[in-house]
Amino acid sequence: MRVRRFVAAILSALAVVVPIVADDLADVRAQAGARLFRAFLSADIDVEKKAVDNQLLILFLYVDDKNRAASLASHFLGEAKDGGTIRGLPLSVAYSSDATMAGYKTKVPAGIFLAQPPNDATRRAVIRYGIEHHVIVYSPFEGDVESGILGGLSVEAQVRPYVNLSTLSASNISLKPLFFKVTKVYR
Amino acid sequence: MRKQILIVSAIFFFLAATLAGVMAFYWIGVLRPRLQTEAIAQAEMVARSQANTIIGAVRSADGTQRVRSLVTALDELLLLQDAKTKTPFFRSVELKIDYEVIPAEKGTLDLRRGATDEGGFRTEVALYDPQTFELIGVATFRVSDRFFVQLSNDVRHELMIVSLAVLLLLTLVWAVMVFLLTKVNRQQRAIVDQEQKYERLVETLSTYFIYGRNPRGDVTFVSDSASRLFSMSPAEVTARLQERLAPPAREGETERNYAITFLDNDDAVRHVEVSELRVIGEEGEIEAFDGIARDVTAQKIVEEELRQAKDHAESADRAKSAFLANMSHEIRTPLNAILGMSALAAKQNPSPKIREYLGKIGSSARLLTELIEDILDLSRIETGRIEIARIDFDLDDMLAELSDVVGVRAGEKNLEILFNTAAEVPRRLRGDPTRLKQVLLNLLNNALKFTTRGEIVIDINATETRRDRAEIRFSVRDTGIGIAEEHLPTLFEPFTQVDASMARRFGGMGLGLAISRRLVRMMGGEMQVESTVGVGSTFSFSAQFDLPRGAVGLRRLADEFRDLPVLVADDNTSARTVIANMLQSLSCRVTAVESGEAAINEALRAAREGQPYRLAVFDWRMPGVDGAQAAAQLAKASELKPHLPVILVTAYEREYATQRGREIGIDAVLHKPVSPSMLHDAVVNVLVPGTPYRPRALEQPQVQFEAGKRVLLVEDNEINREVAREMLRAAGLEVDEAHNGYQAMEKLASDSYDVVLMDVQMPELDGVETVKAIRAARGRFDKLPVIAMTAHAMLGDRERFLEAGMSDYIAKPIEEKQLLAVLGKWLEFNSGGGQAPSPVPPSSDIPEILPGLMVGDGIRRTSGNVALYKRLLAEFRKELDAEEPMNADRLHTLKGSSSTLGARRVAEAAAALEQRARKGEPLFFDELRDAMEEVKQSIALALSGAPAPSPVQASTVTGPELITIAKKMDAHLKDNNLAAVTCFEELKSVVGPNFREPMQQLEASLDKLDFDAARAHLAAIREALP
Repeated sequence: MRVRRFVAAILSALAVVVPIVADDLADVRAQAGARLFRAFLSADIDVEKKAVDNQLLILFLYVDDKNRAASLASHFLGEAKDGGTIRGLPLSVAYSSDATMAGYKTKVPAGIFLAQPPNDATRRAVIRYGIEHHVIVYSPFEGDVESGILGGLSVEAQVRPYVNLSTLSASNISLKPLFFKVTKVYR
Repeated sequence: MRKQILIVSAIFFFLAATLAGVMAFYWIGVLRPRLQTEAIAQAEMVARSQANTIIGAVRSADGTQRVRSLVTALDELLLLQDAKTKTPFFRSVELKIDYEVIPAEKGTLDLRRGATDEGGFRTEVALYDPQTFELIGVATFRVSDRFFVQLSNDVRHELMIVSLAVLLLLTLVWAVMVFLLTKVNRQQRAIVDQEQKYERLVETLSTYFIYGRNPRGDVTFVSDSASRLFSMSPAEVTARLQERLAPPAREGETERNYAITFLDNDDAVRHVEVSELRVIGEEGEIEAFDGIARDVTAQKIVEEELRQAKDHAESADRAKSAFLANMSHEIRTPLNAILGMSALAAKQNPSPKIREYLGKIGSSARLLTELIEDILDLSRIETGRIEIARIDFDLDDMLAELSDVVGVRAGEKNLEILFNTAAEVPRRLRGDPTRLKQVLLNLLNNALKFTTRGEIVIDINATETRRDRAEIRFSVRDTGIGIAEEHLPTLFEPFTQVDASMARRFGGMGLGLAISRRLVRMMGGEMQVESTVGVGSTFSFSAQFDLPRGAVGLRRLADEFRDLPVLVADDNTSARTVIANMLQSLSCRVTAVESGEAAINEALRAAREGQPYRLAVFDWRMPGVDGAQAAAQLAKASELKPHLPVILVTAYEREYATQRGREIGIDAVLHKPVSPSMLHDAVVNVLVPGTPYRPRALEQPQVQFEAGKRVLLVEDNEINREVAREMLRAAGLEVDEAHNGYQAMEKLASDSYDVVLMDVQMPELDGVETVKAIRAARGRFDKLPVIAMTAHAMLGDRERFLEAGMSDYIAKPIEEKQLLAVLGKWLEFNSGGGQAPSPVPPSSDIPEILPGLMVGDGIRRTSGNVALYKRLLAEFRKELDAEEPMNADRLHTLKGSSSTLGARRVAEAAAALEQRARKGEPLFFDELRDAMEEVKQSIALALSGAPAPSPVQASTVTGPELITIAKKMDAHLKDNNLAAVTCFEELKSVVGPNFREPMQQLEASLDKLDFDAARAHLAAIREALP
């Protein structure tokens, strides 16, 4: 009886710990991705042209956890109080869970960050939106670049930017050549 | 097998190639890329770790200071190295700066430090601004690949070593498999070959087949060859075998061989020999029976034909024997009539012409008689009816007898006959002296016949001498006409003459050599001939003899005559050498010269030098001064004091030489051929003046034993008993008799004897059983000598009798000399010295030889007692006439009696029949009946003569005329020439009345045309002549 209880306790502990460990790894990847998202934006040759109200609007798209989106946004903004600048342009962060991007037909953001793994429909909608509006859509989640998301990160011996060249070409976005020297490309 | 090895080799080659391919693929496609990926990852990490140092330097200051700071940072990076291998981590570093982000003059910070080549791993590290995370530039590192290269080499070497090890293992396994395959294959091939060979044998051998049976005995298998052999179906063969084969082998019987017969489909009888073996299983149980069979039908047919042929041959042989016996009897009867009638006719004073014709008729009839005797002799040899006796004899004595026979004729032909006996030849032998003499006489007669001048040498050598046996080689060498080489191969065939002209010139039917060769073979030897036409011939043969126990060795002179100086003179080299050798073997020191003159000179020279010769042996006839003249001159020589004794040796004119020798004072005359014993006796007689010289013919063994010595004579044959009794009493012994073993035992129990003479073969209790019983009575008879008497004179008999308890052994028929010699070993002679000369030679009115009856032998066995011999002959005739069944015992008795009395032909026939009777073989009495008839006639003749012998008295008549007539008559008698009758009349007219009786005997012999007997009587008369 006591043994059964002991085994049950071990199994319960494992049931709790394993998802936590997995979540932690996903968070770390998401946080590293949030920082690398700034490198993407600064590599966009036409980023100054995408300023809205002399600010660069950055949209964090989430599914159901806005806090997570906020947490990632803080990582994106870094240690500067005002979140710093890109090419001298101040950054403005917005949050949305609307995959249709109904509120951003005219007020087009310079980049979209997927704070939570999207479903297929959301992913397709965001990709279409990015292509139509020449917006860098960025997802820190594995497999999204291969699914058509324009940018992401590749974690191997070093963390590198990951670009879907087709989506990039379709989005008609030009990145600095130097950026390509350190970028993994998906064709 | 080759194919299997090739397949295995191919598989192993494929495996090896696959291994090599997999290893290569694994290295090139998997391991090396992975190593490279890992190495690049490591390089990226190492390079990435240096990004902050470069970013710090880029952001550290402005202008020249920043460039300097950046160069310093890059140079320090290039200094970094592996602690163990001292290999720098980075080969070069190159910077590309985004001047839109870093405010600096374009290109001033794009620096490159380190090696300029393209070696190592290229890795590019992004330089992000730590604040804005903007990309400020890219640093391109060339990271050293030395570690990777070294590691990949090590791994590749390890991989190759493992691969080689596996390949080696594969090769080893391949070699083992090939070896095993080869071995297995070889064994399989051997088995297959064996099976094929076996099948081929069985299928090929036309008369063999094999079969198998189960443990119950049912035939389970028959080879195909059986069907072919018997022209029957396999099922039919199986059925026949099943029906005829015996039950399977019983327990403990591993093999079974037997014969069966069955009828084939043509109802012909087939004979089959089968051999069957049990097949034992692992548990020891009988699994089956394997059989091999052979059709021997053809062989059986041949055997049957051979048996019939043998029966026919035996029948023909019996017919031939019967014919020969009949011929002998039927032809000799008219021949005797012819001889008798022609002699009677010659007494009727016919004209010279008619007398000559009558003489030729007589000669021809005698020739025919001799021919018939030869044919019968040959027939008896070929049918095994002659046996070689094994009796003790003295070789020298036999040679002396031979010398007597041939010496005269050789002298008449002026031929020299020499006996050259090697020193090592044993004198005493055990064998058949009569047959040996017959062979030698035949060869000598031939040599005499075909030699007209020169010499005839008889060489005698011992080719092998052991303790109890000797092989003696005799050769008769002449200087005659020789024989052409093409005639030699058929020389020993019966009825073969060298050519027809020879037969006409020299006579003879060519049987002598055929008989001689067969006799030699019976004596364990072989006869050979070497001949050259115009040079001469040498006939030689060897014969096996036993050596009697205690046989006398070499004849030597007494010690006082050792190294006696002897002078020999003979113009004939061979004769000189032979005489010298004989004297040397007598231990004399010999000097030989070739003439009378030389002998005189040598004798005088030696005397002058104070070393005179003590004896001289001269040939009588030599060119110049002959032996007699030389002796006469030496007798007159004053230098020779004392007188030099001389022995004169002569081959010619015996009587004259003897007479002349006496006239001139020759000490002794020896007639050639000289035998060693003759020379020995002559030397002894000359050297010891008190020992008178005696002609050998007069010698008789006169032995006297100590008075009172008693002999028990155990003998069932009455005649033999009488003969032995006479001999023993003549030797001064008391004789008691027993007829069989039981009587002997009774006599021994009640009386005492000094020696027992025991016949071996007797009814009731034979000699061997009797002596065993005597020896069984321990103590009393331990030292009693028991001497066996037997006609079983075969090899090994002597040992058998001695083992049974006999003390010694005498062969039958008993010879007096031999009997007394054996008794002398066990009884003391009397103090008178034992041997004394006998002044009375045996003489009788009976011819020496009659048909089938050797009278001389018989009389000798009765110690010269002719009356006794005649009485025994009369008893023997009764024995011959007795109508008792001819069983083995009767034949044995007949053999003993006839042998003792000299009826040799009856003895031989009876001995052969007795042997067959004891073996249970069929008996054919033709030869015996014929021999008995012949001897009965001879006995009648012998008993019809004057009963009492009388010694020849010396004649008063002297002179060469008488000698010449006697010599002429002897020559005519020898040639069976009736001119001898004329000579007889001449002789009768000149001899005095003292010779009346001998002359009557001589006349009687002439009347009976018994020329041999006439010659014997004439010889006795000549001996008695002064």
